[in-house]
This record gives sequence, structure tokens and C-alpha cells, in this order.
Amino acid sequence: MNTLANYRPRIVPEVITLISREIPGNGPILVKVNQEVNPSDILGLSITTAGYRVLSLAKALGVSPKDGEKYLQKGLGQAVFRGEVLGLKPSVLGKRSFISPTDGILESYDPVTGDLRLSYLPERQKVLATVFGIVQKVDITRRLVIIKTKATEILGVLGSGKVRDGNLIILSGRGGVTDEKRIIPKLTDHIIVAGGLIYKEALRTAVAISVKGVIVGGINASDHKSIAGGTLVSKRNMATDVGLSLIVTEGFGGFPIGEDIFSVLARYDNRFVVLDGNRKRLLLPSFDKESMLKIKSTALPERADEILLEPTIEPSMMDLKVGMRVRVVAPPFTSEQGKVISIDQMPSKLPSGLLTYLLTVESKSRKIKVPVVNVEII
Amino acid sequence: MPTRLTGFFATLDLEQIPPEDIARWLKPNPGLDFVENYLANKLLYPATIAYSQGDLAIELAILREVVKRNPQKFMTAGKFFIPPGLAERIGTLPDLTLALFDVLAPKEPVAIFLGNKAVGSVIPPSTPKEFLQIEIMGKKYRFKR
Repeated sequence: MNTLANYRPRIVPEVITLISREIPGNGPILVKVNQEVNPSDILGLSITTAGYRVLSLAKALGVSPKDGEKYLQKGLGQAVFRGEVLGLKPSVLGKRSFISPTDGILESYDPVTGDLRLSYLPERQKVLATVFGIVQKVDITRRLVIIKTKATEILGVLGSGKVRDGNLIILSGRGGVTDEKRIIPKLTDHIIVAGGLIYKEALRTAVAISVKGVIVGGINASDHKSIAGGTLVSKRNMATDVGLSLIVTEGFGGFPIGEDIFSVLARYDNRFVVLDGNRKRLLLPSFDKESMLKIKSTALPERADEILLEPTIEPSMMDLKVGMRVRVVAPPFTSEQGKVISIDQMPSKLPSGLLTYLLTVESKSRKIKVPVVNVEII
Repeated sequence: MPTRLTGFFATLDLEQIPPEDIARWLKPNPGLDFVENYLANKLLYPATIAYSQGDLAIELAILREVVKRNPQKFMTAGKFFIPPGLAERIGTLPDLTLALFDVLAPKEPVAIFLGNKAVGSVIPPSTPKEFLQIEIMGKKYRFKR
């Protein structure tokens, strides 16, 4: 007898894929197409200005706005540092000075208001490759460097949010519960593994402190709605983003992250990962130098951008056979994984009164009998 | 040809059914979060079936709300129509008939059709003290309603 079951891959090891690294601001991009890169190589310099501050110079010196500029101790366009004298006006009672409250550049002076505009010094940051790979494309306009690399792909059942990257932090065991108290400032800019359930308040706190992403076993449906555009299950091509990317590996409610996925995540603690919430996908770039061999020998199509947007693997059907690994997707054994050790040839009556075919799954700790339709091949 | 196993509920927009409406059919009420999570998992895995009596009660509660929103699909001219995809997936034939009766509440006897095949009949109680009588595939069932 042929027994069909749904097949949903959860881990796709060692795929050759593309990742995109953004170099914000207006610094130089230092790599070229076809250049090999190591994780510590610098792709470019990110030079970004962080705003400006307006200082009431004329008022502070007690002069008219049109005269203020002549008391400036440095010319416009020059850098000044915190504590440095910006303006100095001699008077009969001594000297009246104005001290710079911060580092910056004297940008302009307004003779009508007497205000001096001080722009903050630009922030310079090196953007690292963070992966072993080969530069596939340099997009000067969008300031992106697209790198061909080897990665392990983790596929969730739900997700939301745009592509974000950062270092992974295992915040909790695979069945832990994450509330807002556990979301602390040191998690800023990281992608966190939040155990078997995360609450809405924790997600809000994570957005507030700029956590980049969350990987979790389960989430309550009402909480998921609040960050996924008001829907329970996101429709294809419907992208949402609330300032945080999320993938859920098991389903709605509280479920430990599957052992298969958690054991892979544990190897990536404090390593660079890429989370694409809207496509329910987490990429774990290889940190093995030997991966360059496969990267070099695997060709990808020319049109790199299209690969970045290609759909993830959708569930499909296949013949269920003894020896296959399955995951239970309905109560009472939801999210339990194991190997199929037998498939019944005759239907059995369930406690619900329904008549159906059962199979026996051997998990790490026990053997369970479940309806064939309540498992998926993984 | 379908690319994945699916189920009756996959063809419906279950997201439009408020969990409060489903919970109203359940005694004891397992709580809105539980009901909404169950409904949401049904969207992810529509081919699954109820293992326990508790899960069956939720599946039938969802079905009652589906019937309430689409009565014409399930009853016309003195006939209950049970889509073949429901039998032994959402509930047994008596379970399904009872769910249809709870929502559609016919005052006169109706025939039960599984797809286009007549499989039995329902005789509604004429007074509150009487039993609802369902006859399916030659078996008779009586329920207090």
C-alpha cells in the first residue's frame, strides 16, 4: 500500500547561495566582482553622519546675530572637539567664551538668528564580509555587495520581517519561555534564539532595543497577528515588517524548537547568521575555510538578485516509508520527532471515534502511534 | 494534481472566524488562546485529524461556524449535504449530522446525503422532551437536544 504524507524540509545543509551585505553611507566599497573573501575581510567603509546640533552662539556671547561669526575661533568647515573654545568675545569685565558641548564640524552660521550649526562627526565603520565566499556582484547604487557562500538553511513554518543579519545568541533552551524581562540591552543588533515560546511584550521590547531577529519554536496566534500584518498565516508575496524579523519553527502555541534545528543553532552561538522572516528562512553561513572549495566549484546563475528572491522550498507530497524521519504536527504529540518504525495496513479507531491508518514513531524517549495524516516527513 | 495533502478546512477562509464564536460551542471552554492557536495550526496543517474527543469537539465547533456562514452549502430542500471530504476527517457521520442539525435546526425530517448518495435521515424532536433521531447506514442514534 502506498501511503502519502506531506514533506517539509526543515534543514537544508550546505547549499551554495547568495547573501547580501549593505554598506551604508558614502564610504568606499573595497571589493571587486570575483574577489575571494574571508569573514574578516573588509568589504567597504560605512561613513554615516548622525545629524547636527544648533547652538545659540550670538546669545551666549551677548552679541547681535549679525556679529556672531566674527567671534568664532575656527572657520566654518573645520572640526571641533568637546571642551574646545568655539567663540570668544573680549569685554571690559574680561572675556566671554562659548565652549563646544560635543565633537563635530562647524557647518554653518545664521546671521539672522545667531545660531551656529554643528554637525556630528561622521561615524566610520568597517563592514566585514563575515563569510567565506566570492563576490558575485557589487551594486554601487544600492551599496550592496552580494557574496556567493556556503550555508545551512533552516526553514520555519511561519515568519515575518525583512532580511536582517547579525550574530546569533542562544538566549534560552529549546523549550524555554521568553518574556520581556529577558530582553536586555546586550541583545541589541543580535538575532536571538528565544526557546519554545515568546510573548508579545518581549517582542515589543526587542523592537524597542533594536534586536534584529527572533527564532522561536512557537508563538501565540494573537501575538503573531500583531507583528505579521494582522494575519495568522502570511500569504505568499505578502511581506511585512515591524522592525524585527521572526521565524517560528514549529507552530502556534508553545512548542520546543525541534531537536534537529536546535542542535544546528547551538553550533552557531555567537556566529553571523542571516534571517529572512518573510520567506521563513534562516541562513547559517559556513565558518569552515574548506567551504571555499565547494563555493568555487559551484556556479550560480548570472542574475544574482533573482536568486536572493527565489521562493523557499514549499511542502510537497511523497510516499511515506519505514525508516523515514517524521515530525508530528497535531495534538497530542505535536512537534515530537522520530523515525517511522511501522505503518499499519489496517485502519484503527482513535479516541475521537475516527477511523484512520496509524504509524509507529520511535522518538528519542519513546514509541508513539499517530495517524499518518498527522505527521510530515522532514 | 495536488502537490500536498490538504483537507476540507484548507478550502475555507478560517481566519475570518472569530475564536470567540468557536469557543461558544465548547464546554468546558478551553480558553481563547487555546482555540485561536488550534485554529491557526489548522491553517498550517489542514490535513490533520482529531486524535482525542477534546480535539474532535473543537473541529466540530469550527465546522458549526463554517456551516453558519454557508448554510446553503449544507442544506437545501429538505436535505443535509455532507461533503465526502468531511466524513472520517472532521468527524464520524453521526457527529457531522449532529453539527449540521445544531446550526441549521430543521423543523421537519430531512434526508442526509454524503456527496450525492443518500445515507440516512434526521427526525427532529417535536417537543423539547423528545429525542433527536438520526438514522445513518441502517444504524439509529438518539440525542437529547
